[in-house]
Amino acid sequence: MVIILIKKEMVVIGAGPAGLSSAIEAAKEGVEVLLVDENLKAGGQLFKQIHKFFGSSDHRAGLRGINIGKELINESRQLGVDIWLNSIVIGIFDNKQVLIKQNIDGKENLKTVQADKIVIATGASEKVINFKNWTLPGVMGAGAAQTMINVHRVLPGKRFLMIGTGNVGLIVSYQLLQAGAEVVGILDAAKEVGGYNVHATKIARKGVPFYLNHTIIKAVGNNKEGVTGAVIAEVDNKWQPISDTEKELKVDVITLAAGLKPLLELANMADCKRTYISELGGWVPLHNENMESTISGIYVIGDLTGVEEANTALEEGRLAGVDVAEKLGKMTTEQSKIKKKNITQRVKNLRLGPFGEKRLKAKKRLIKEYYKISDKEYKNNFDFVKEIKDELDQKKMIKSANNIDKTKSPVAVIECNQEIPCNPCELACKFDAIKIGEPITNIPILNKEKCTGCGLCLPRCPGLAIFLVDRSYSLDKSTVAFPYEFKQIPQKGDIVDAVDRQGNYLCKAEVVKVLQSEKFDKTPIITISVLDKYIDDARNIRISD
Amino acid sequence: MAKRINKHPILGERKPKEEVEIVFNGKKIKAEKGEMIAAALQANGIRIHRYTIKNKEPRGVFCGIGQCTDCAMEVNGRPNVRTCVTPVQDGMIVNTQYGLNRNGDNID
Amino acid sequence: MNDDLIVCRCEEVTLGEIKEAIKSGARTVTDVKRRTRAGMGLCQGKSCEIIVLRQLSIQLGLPSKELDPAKDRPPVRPISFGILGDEYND
Repeated sequence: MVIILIKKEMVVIGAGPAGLSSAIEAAKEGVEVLLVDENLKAGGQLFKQIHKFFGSSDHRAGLRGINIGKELINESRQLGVDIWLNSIVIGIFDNKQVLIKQNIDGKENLKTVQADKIVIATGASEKVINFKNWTLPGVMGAGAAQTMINVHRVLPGKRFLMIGTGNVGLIVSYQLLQAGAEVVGILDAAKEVGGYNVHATKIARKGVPFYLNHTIIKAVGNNKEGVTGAVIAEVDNKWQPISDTEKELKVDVITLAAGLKPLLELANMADCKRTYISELGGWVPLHNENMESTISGIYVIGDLTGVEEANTALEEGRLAGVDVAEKLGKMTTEQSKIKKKNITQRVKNLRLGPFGEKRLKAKKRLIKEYYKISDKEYKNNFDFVKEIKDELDQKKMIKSANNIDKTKSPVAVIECNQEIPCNPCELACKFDAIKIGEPITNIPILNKEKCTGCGLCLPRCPGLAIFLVDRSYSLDKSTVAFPYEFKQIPQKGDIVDAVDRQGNYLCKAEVVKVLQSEKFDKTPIITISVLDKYIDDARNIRISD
Repeated sequence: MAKRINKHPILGERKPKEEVEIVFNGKKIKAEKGEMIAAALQANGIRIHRYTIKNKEPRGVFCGIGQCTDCAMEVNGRPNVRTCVTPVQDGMIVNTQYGLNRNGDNID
Repeated sequence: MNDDLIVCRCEEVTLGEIKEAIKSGARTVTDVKRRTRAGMGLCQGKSCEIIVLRQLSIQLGLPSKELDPAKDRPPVRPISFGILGDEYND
């Protein structure tokens, strides 16, 4: 067997957001990078993320995943990163030798690459839950359905049941609706929605029923058609199904969104030490503050080191990229120190709030276990990033965010009441009327005096959680404007059904304005007029086909 | 059943791509150049990719990203090809896989 | 849950077989794998490892963190013998 040996300063495995950003950051400093990915296209899962991302405005927040993917690929190409696609890393061997099955125009070659530094960014895969008949065609991962509709543009069925109300379940349900599917329901054994409220309300407004405290008993179907239905039931407080609550839903696809687990095979093969942290998705490799694993010169980044969102994966990639450049002597310790400090501060901001805190703690644990140090030692050595959160009274903010002013018109109504690391609305406002400040998990506060009702914040909110209410529209009518990302856009003058936050019919409404602009990035703003009494409830429309 | 998404609020109109033909179980079906075999099959309403070796149960796309291998089929005579990550080619012969190959030959 | 429920999709190993393996002494994912072939199929346990871990945890009364996942060995993805046997390179 002839195996060609090549030398590279840095080999990055996995061209998702983490891998791409580490490659870019290192290449910027002159590191010679080889980026390997088993897929035909770089970008990892970014190309199925067609929604706008949360995050800080100065770091691509509010952009859709697909567009971030395109930018990253362009940037890495411009920087001369060598990208091998359709190439599979078979294994990592002693002395940082990476065995790769390279594919050039259908011709397969085995190549061994001798790397100075290896960055593993293999991501995560979907966790499964098993129930009767879960092997029938038509039962698939939520990610599989998402790939089918957003990448391949094929709807794998008509009527979908989503299992799991985490962010993946919520987002994919929304995207199934955008693709023209019917989402018959979304189910969770927990009594509360697992993901962000803003994602949940997006599908609730479309009338998708939430089956909380429910479980799936079985898939119904046969060996010819695959899935034709699903039997679900309520669960008791011990999470056991209550037998007389069983009911069958007519569906042809059941999608599973039971969470993700890090893909450790290569990190394990390289002998990186690991630990079990359920908040991060299960087993994760230990790493230090620079994302270096317990094996010197081998880095672990992105979902592999704990399932989070793409924005943290990007920052972890940058951190590893900077450290590699520094260790290879491409930049001074002083230069890298400043860069690392900024990145670390940003990652920390992304891990604040009720959703992020658990991950922040879990990530601290990884570093503590890596160095085998105590809480106090961690604080002394790594907590150079200031805790800003304590200074702010969060409860007060939630109150003010919900305090809708009924005297001023038109005025923005921000229905964002969870601490999400996200601030594009703050920057969207040209009149300084929306305040988030630091940390970016603060709930936005609207200064009603400054708000001019221009509506520019509406399409910028990735959660689609900002509305514009005008109570002065006419004697007995008010208008509400809202983002509407569906294929059938109504025309001015159309009479449509106004629905509330749960998608229930309220009243007839007239479409008074339809705003579409390139700046809105495919998020048109629809304004409808309804009788005054409906204005606090009307938040969406239903258009009959 | 399954269908192509021609109009999409975010992704826009689907640009028509060059059409190719693949042969599924002896029958010609239309596919789009460069798309994954699994996508072409879904678009043609086909979602049973193989039958398992022990229980002879049907399987189809499960993970959609080449990890689970449930969507494996016999492609151009070669079994266990992951159809969700393998693009179609004009004239490609795709067969339902029974057990380990088209004929259902088992190892035991 | 029913014992005839499939756990390993590739090798068609049922929950009953997993339970039986644990009863007969399996203590790790690798033990279960050797006894039942769960996780030995084409996907190398990507879907079922988590279910096997859950069963081990339930049957042995151990938290997941005390149960080691399976050992990973190359190749990470299915690879044909042809390429290892130098079908292409010369």
